[in-house]
Amino acid sequence: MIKYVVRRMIQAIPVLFLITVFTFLLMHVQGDPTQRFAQNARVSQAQIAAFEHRWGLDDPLPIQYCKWLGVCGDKPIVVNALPQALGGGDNGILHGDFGYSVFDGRLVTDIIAQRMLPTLILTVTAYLIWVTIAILAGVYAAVKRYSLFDSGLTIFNYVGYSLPTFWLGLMLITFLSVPPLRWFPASGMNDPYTTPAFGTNSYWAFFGQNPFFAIFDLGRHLVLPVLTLVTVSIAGDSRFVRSSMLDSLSQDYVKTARAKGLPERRVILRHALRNALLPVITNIGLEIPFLFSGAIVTETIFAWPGMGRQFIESVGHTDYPVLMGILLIAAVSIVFANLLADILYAVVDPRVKYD
Amino acid sequence: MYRRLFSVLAVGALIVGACSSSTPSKKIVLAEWQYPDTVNPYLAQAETDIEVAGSMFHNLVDVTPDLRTIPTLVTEVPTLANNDVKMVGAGMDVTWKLKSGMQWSDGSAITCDDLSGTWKWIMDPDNTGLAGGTIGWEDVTGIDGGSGTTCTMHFGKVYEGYLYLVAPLLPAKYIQSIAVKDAPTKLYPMGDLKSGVYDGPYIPTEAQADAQITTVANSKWSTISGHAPYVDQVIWKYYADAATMLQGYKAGEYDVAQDLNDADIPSLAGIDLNEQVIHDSLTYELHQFNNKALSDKFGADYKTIIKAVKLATDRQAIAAGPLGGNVSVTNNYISPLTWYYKVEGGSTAADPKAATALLTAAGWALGSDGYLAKAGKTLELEYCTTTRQVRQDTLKLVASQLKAIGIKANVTAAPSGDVFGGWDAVKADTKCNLVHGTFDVAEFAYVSPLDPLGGYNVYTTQGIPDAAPHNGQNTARISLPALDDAYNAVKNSVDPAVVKAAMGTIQDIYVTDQNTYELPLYMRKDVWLVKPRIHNFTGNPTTSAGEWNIGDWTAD
Repeated sequence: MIKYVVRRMIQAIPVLFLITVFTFLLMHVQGDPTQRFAQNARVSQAQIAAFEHRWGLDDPLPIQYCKWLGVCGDKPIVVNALPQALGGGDNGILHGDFGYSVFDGRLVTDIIAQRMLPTLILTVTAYLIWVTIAILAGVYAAVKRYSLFDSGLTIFNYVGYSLPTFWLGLMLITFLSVPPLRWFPASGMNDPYTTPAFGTNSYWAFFGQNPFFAIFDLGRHLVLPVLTLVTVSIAGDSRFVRSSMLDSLSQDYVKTARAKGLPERRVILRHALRNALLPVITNIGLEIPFLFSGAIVTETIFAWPGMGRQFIESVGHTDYPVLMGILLIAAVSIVFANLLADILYAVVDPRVKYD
Repeated sequence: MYRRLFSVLAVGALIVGACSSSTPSKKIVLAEWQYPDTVNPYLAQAETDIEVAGSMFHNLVDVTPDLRTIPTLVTEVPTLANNDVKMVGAGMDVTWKLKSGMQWSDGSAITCDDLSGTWKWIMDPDNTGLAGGTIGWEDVTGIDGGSGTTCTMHFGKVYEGYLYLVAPLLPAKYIQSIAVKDAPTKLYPMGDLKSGVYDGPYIPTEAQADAQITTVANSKWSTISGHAPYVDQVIWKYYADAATMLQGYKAGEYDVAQDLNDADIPSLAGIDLNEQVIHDSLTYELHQFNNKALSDKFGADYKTIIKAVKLATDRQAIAAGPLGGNVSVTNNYISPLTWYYKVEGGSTAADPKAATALLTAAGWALGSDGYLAKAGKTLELEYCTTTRQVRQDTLKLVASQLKAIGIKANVTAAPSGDVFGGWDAVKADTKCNLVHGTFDVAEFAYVSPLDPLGGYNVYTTQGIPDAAPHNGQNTARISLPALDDAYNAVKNSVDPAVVKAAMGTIQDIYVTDQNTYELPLYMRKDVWLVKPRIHNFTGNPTTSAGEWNIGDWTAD
């Protein structure tokens, strides 16, 4: 198993390299950061050139990529790529340096760190809820095939799957946030009248003094975005679980278990479900990257200051170092989620051997 | 049993904890649908930047909602009449008498050194991205006064727009502490707004990007205004778009909605009329005619064609149709609130018959395709605008109006970067670019100038951008000696009587057939939503936005 994991990690290196090359090219096709001056007729060409020079945008594209990677630098190429302790450079992705935002000059790692927690709070909460509901509902629908519940779930799934996220979000706000119901907040992570802005020093101080209130406030703000994500995401997974479970229930080992006189509950949970979950694990594992990259539409509608919203902002500013940082995290998480899914598959199913 | 009891107790503790949170001090929450890029007013380009900066900085003078100029950091508005403006040779001296005892948020004194420091900072060659450029500042030759409060600003030539030049004053000591080339990222950095020095009623303490900026009352502000701000905290809450911001207002999430305009008025249904503050904006929508392109295309007929198009364009139908009856048609580009406004007659009604008669007299005849033609050339115009939906709808309507008299109008909706891109920022052949003149007629908006000289670069021969350094704004490429003379009269005088007379001439020209450069469509609207608990909110049509008097707002 260890050999397999090591081999997969080595294989991931060229994959990630190609992904970064492709996305870097894509970023530069999309536009360049000097577009921000396009509507300001008073900015001279000399000022634009100075801006480009300061951020290295006047270098040829391969050199820009090389510097972003951390291979090119003041020192000879090979040495610069080495860790700093071995005489290499200290900038570029290879040295853990994501660079600076060309829009506001902040460290990309600072920007991403600030956005990661809000995204994780939203996506992990939604993920846990929808995966749990999807498994429970999928199993029950399979066991009670063609029942009223099964039909109801099928309809709900088709409707949920068809709903555009932005429309569902706006409808939830319209019906549950504005009068007459006004049950849940329409936006943000905190009520500005009662709670400091989430993530600031004041917030954590407030959290320390009023933990229950802070959690309660955050929870209220989580309801609608989580409900949106759960509604649109539950459909795929529950259909997948249902079909896998149906497949499992028709297998000979289930019939044998029943023939042995085992209680139905035990047949379903021990024999059918355990086997049915094998493909489900792969499916659920592949959804893990979403936890880190954020939910662009949902975060935008509910003014949730996470990675997805940062991504949209950075696209607007053509802030390619930040975009590259976010995309790299997404790419790495996809590669590792695949690996994790494969490993879990082997753990759950003793028949699977990788060595 | 115990598990259930524990659950009940836990939920109870949560609810009690939630309810027992102490009520904080008095605060108001303002909403916007765009997070600001900067709070530095000299770099601010978007409305959202100007709004938040408006609560943190002060100009030397302010403009009230009825467009009166009032002193803010000074004891009196400098004019010729009070002898604070003196003509000196070809130039002039302006004396700014700062109020004594004023302090920045860090406790340092506000003095003439700050005025001088602001000037030097703006003129520094390393300064990139100044939204307003260096116009006016370039004419300053020196500022006296040092650490005192009576500052004399020397101009090498007469600059009529001196009153609104210092907008705002910056703290010299702070701005000098950061290299000018680093200003866009390190001066008032968005990631650490607290590190900046301010003189406005509210100063930032914390910010969560894309979500919230928290400001608190500036304890030093009373040295400027004579009283402390009436509210302890002003919180800026940011949404992703105007639609969700409006839903947030209905949900009671904040007190004041900003940055709304006439296009948002239909979405205000269900909101109490008393909470809707709707003013005529200084911004007006217009159709600009490219005199050079049209002259190249149609030779001597181009003026007749422009006149016919102006007659055939039914502005009342535009106001009633795409604009939903929420705006009023205008004939003059100058706001009636300005001190130099001149009442002009003239109808805003369309007259397609008169348009047809003009074109027929010029030899244009209907062809078999239903369009006018002359000497084998079809009367075809290239209309351009941005991708803003209401503009596209307007031009679709105008195209149908022109088709009725035989003019073919092709409409292109281009990205705003293409339309407004500077000379060096876009390629010369970029379609619909104003500066390069790649359009026949363009729809966009201008801000009606508060400063009479505001139109100088827009309407004089000197402002035609084809000549180097290509920074003129006369994208209609109009060159009228009478207009040039009138604007030069404005430029070379600070005598209100002379300026008013010259501006009268300019407005006379605007409503006659000499105006082949633009057709004003309608004045746009500024819209705010204000909860009844907020008092003293007035709004302001100038670029100071609604926060111009935020230090005087009170809340129940």
